[in-house]
Amino acid sequence: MRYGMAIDLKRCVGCNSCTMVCRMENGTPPGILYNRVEKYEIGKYPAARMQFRPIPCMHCQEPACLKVCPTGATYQRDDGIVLIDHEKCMGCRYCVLACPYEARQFLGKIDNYFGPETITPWETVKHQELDKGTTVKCTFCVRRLERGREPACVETCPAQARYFGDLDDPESEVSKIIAFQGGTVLKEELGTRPSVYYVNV
Amino acid sequence: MNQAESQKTWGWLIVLYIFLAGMGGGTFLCSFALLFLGKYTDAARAGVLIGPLLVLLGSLMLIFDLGSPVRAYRLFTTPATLLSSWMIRGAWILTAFIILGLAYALPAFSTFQWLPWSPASGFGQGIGIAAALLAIIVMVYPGLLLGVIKSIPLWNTSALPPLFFLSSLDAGLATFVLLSLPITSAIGMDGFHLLGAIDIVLIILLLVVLGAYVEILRQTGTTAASSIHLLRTPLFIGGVIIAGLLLPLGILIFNIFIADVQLIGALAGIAGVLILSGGLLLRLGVVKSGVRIAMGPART
Repeated sequence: MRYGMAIDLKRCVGCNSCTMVCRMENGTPPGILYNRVEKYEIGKYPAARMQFRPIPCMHCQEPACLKVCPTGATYQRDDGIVLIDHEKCMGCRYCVLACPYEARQFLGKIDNYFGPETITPWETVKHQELDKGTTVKCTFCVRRLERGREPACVETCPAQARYFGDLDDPESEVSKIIAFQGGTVLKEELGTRPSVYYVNV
Repeated sequence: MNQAESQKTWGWLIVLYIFLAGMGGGTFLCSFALLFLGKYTDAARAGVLIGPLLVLLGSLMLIFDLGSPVRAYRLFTTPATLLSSWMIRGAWILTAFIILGLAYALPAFSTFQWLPWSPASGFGQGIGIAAALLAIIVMVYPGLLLGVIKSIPLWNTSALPPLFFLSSLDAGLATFVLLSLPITSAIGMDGFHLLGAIDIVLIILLLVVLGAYVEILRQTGTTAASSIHLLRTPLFIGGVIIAGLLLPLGILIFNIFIADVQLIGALAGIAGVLILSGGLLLRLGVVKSGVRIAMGPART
């Protein structure tokens, strides 16, 4: 069992719905994004066009962040998901530098979206789950998975550009997409072996 | 060339940490070598004490830099991560060095004569040698701490540890000379000439290694080249290369021809301050100019 994701860049329209639902799901304060969408130009004029690339945590099989973590706060589950134990993280930010995908951010402060005086009921609840002074990142929505649901970004994508499932099972939808459409990973040369694949790059 | 964004994750406190650790390790190593040779022992006894204290001060900078400093104790409760992380290896090496360095230095001072060993005894010498070996690792280690970050080419090069080692040795020698100035006739004319000559060699080596470092990175790829572009600031060229290396080199060469001990001491002191500030700015430049390899097509 290894959880993984495939993102079809031909389907992605760069709407940032995944970014927004991720913020909702995880209650991330301003400045913190567990998922972001990069845009860049491909092709040459006159055939040049914009392409979008959503970047969650890659949940690498050989995570660079895990190797550098000095306190054992970063760990990898048997299903491949890389998580941070916030009780153990001392906020040295070595992992933030080590991650080649900039998937990790340091939670130095927790601001409200509507000014310091106005905290929404949602923020009141969600901020309790955040641990200031530690490093944060995408968890593949591990608590949704435990309830049998898919990550919020996968469920919400209006273009259905994201596929999620078991990479070890060749019959799973995500494995088939990667096999038939030719999945590639980012910065393969660094040997991190990401579990997030991109198709139709 | 597009102005690449440098990393903002680590800043001044980490710069101070790696500078003070290098400076302290260098001070201890230089002073220990001189004690071992029986030269300038008054200043060297102060040097072996100041070295570990500087490293201790540097370690405090690292702790202040943490997001959750109260959890820093975890560096000593998770030995399993020693297998992979240079951060925890550094913490252990620094701690061992501080303890052994102080254990070697303190019995020479009257307040601590109750300690059951003396620096000159076999046991004391053993501690000293162990601390000196650790000091070498303390000086090299910041280059490894940064060097294992594969996604930042400016750091991920084997030229960085020797660069930091030489720069730390130079800073240590400068600190030793500065320490010896208030102690009247601690090292004398011969001392200034001898240490000056060693420093001249060190600075020339440092110029060669720094030049090689920059040249290798210029040829490594676009990310490394944009780091070099960021390094090319007046602060780095003026503060590190001119004021931190070339100017002290000139002063120390000039010192060879001077026979007035007051003047030679004053000039050596100025050179020492310049070398130290150059060492600090070198680390500032290296840390602040780290640029990550971009992902695939250039971002807009």
